[in-house]
Amino acid sequence: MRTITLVIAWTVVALPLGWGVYQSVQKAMPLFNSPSKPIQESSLDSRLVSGLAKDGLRTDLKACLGVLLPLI
Amino acid sequence: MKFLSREATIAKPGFNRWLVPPAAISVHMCIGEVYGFSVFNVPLTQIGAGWTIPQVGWVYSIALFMLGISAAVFGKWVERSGPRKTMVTSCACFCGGLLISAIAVKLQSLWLLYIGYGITGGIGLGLGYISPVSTLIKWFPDRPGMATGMAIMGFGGGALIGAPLGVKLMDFFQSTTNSGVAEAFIAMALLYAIFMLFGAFLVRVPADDWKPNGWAPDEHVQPMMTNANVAVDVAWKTPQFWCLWLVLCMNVSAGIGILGQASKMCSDMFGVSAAVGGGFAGLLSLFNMGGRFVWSSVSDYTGRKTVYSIYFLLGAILYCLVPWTQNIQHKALFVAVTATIITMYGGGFATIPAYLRDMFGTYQVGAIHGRLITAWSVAALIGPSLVNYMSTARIEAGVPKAEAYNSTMFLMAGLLLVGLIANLLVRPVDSKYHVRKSSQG
Repeated sequence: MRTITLVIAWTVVALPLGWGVYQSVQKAMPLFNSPSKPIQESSLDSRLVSGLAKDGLRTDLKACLGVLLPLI
Repeated sequence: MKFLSREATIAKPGFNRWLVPPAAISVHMCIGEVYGFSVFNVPLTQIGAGWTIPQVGWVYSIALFMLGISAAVFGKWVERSGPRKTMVTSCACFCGGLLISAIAVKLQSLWLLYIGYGITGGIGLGLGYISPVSTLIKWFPDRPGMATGMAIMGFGGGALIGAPLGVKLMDFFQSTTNSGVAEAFIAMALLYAIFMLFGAFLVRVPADDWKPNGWAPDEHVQPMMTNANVAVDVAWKTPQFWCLWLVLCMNVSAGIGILGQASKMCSDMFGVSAAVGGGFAGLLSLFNMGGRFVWSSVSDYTGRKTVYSIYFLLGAILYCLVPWTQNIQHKALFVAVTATIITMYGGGFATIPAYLRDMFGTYQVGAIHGRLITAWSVAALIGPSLVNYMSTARIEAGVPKAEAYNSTMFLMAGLLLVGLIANLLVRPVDSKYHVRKSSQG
């Protein structure tokens, strides 16, 4: 009797969880089936675009402060 | 109402403790639906009430905020009342919140939606989150990490169920004149109530003197695992509590930043379609769920401090590798790296109750866990905002979309290093904070 209760209890939770996992696996399938499209600007070229490497840190710091200061 | 009392849930001799994990999972997989709430965002803007996505987006934020607040405020009540009464109250709030939301949709009242799903449902989330976890810790003193991992894995699983279920129900009830959202809310309320009440019916607490067969508390007390207890009102004034608060906050901030933006990030970095980006997000959810059980179980063997050091150190290294995978356009490597990061994000959630038990004992671990969950609420604000604002600022500064996330990844690695320092600072709680046996009641 105890074993049956145990099996029923685990089945009740395993069925919806299994369904959820199946749905996610289905949703994830396109990830493995499609090749990457070429991105618009190559990563090497982009480093030369408008001196971004220099400005990047400043921009990031500004964005970080914009998020963190209101919280403080 | 005696049926709901703590005394009525004390297990009789011979009760099989493996019946408690399904009880915990059934509650967690219902309240985990909150992660899938975003599927209602667009339909809610199309019911003719003139609601916008940012307005509707607040529902999710309020619910998560209320999760943290209610867990912190009602933690002591949860410990006093026992798991069954708490689970039934959680069910009433969460499912009641869904029903109020259905009325809100029919009346086209945004404020009622905030009160329904956000506030009422959010309180249900908080109560439902901490109660089963604290109960499982008491049933599995020999493997607390694995036990909490099972319950919190259920919460991760709730997201996998909630999102497709919401979509399928809306499709089922949809007509030319009706979006089907209100009916979907009602159906979900009824379905979730069945599962949550099933959990409440099944749950039991162990008798005070109960121990697993053949197990005895370690005579030689390990330095990072106490056999003593600390009361919640004392625990939250100790440095250990705040170190663990920071540990959770940093771990969640770093992970949630990726998880919330996964689909868009994948599309931007690799130029793939939205469907493929969505697939990536789905895959991460699976790893998030699996990591909760696996890492938390591993922590029973390695110790909690070691496993968190692994999360933070390995996580920081992997975050620094993400820009490189984009640079060489290696999609499989990118997926492997981010999936591993997300397993540790989930693991961080699942291992924290066991870490609290090691530090503060089992006496009021649920209430302490409740107060620590406020770190999650803060992280839910910081993480996605950082990724959003930084990537947007980079794109506005002229950086190609594919590279806009690179500095965000380094920032996330930095957050993890802050978490690592907080984790290394965790020391055993001073014995002056311990509760004397006579006052435990």
